[in-house]
Amino acid sequence: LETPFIPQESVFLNIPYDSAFERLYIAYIVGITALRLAPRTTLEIPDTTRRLDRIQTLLGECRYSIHDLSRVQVTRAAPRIPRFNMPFELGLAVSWSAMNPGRHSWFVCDSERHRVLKSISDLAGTDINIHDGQVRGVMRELCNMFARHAVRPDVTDLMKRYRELRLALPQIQRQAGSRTLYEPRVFKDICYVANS
Amino acid sequence: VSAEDIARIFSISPKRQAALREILASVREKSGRNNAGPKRSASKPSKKKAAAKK
Repeated sequence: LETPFIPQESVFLNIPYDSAFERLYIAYIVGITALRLAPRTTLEIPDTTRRLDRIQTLLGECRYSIHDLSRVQVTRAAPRIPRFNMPFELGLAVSWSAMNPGRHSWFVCDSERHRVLKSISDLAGTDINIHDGQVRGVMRELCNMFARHAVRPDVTDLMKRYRELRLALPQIQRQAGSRTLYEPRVFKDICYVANS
Repeated sequence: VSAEDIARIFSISPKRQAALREILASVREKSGRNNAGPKRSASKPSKKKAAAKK
């Protein structure tokens, strides 16, 4: 059996999987691959595995994690409850990072300034990356997060790559027979095209 | 991390890689064609402005 290839330069992407977030989801993939890093998400997790175990394994394989909390909100359907998966996974990353100094760095993103601290005041003192809910904002914040990274693309270049990938999406989805961008195969295809 | 690394991480078959590269090439070709299309010449000053200059 071939040993699975696990690069240290991977980014665990903790994001919501909903249609309103699609533009930013693509923006993250484009930006992360342009930084010559590998995006990783829970979309890779097969249904047969216990999700929490795989999340922890994924986190352990990633040098970085990005937690976008811009859509942590109460569900529309009753019972109206907040979606806690993303803050929970942020907690796992914070804990993993604290237990393994120098091995993992985590970043928090939101679309509105000061909002995260209202729901998670424990993050006081943490720099929150505000992307304003815009593709360009995600690109800008990725450049800020990885300002000391060896590869430093500029936002104009990232936007060009983003537009190119958007044009390729219908064909990628058609070939995969997929209705959403949040299917495992589509995610992997998008990552490959974004990096090509 | 290169495209090859991504293919290895996600176990993307060589056949699928080729298909994806083809998609990207066609998109680039199309957008290249659009960018290389006929461009409008620099706009002439309007008659009103030209008259005002006189």
